[in-house]
Amino acid sequence: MADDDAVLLDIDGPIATVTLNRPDRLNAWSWEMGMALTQRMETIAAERDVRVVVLKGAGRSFCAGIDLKPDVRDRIVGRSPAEKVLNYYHRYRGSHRRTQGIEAIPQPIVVALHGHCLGAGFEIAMLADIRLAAEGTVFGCPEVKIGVAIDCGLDLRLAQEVGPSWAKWMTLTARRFDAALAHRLGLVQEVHPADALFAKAHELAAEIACERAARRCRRRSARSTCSPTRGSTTRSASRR
Amino acid sequence: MFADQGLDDALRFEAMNAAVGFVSEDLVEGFAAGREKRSARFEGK
Repeated sequence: MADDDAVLLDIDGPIATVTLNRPDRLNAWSWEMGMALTQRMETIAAERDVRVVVLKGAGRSFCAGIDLKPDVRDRIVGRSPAEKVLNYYHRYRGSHRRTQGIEAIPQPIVVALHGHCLGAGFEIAMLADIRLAAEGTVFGCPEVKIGVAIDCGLDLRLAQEVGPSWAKWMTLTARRFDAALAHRLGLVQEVHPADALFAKAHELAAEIACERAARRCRRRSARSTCSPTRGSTTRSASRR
Repeated sequence: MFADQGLDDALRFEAMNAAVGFVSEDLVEGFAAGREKRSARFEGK
């Protein structure tokens, strides 16, 4: 069941703004938030007048990673450890279909990152086409420190964006790094003062939105040629 | 690392690793350590 308030959608002309909205928990990632984000993106995909998406987080951070609730393991049941593993596996595969669905929407996604961009938040950021960050944004893959595996392809996407060695540096050490390094590696395309970030993201979105047909064609082309992880998704997705 | 694999193969592999990890006792310790902002004491269980 999705939490309707966990992810907000505002459509203003050709620009859809999607906001992760659990600011009291630094937008910590939960199952409900994943479902809500998927629903919002499906809505946008069906909106023919929306030409570009801005994705951002409410409050002090974009997303501080997975919500570390004590009861997280109780949400998947099974009569034996093996059955639990199988049930978890199928749940992860459902998450994969949802993240690939987000990647496959026809509109380009511009993500505006600030505060924390960790773990699951980093996974979501890497689904975007263009990433902007505020000065002071902290990036990282803390999974190894809390005993979980990266589970939605972040390491593969990182390897393809920045190369295998940097991807290993990030995922095997769980070191945090700043927006300056993220920019130098090409993970983010622009870095701005925090108070200007969202305005800059909308400025960029407006620029992208101004040439509808051409931009859509370019996005399809750019994704198929520039984003190897998106190849199968792009080919199988229904396109307008 | 899965740089030489397709995304879906990599995701299947990740899902299986993640699923096994999620039923471990170390996951409980890892989450507790994260909440308490301390280093986890994993025991391989």
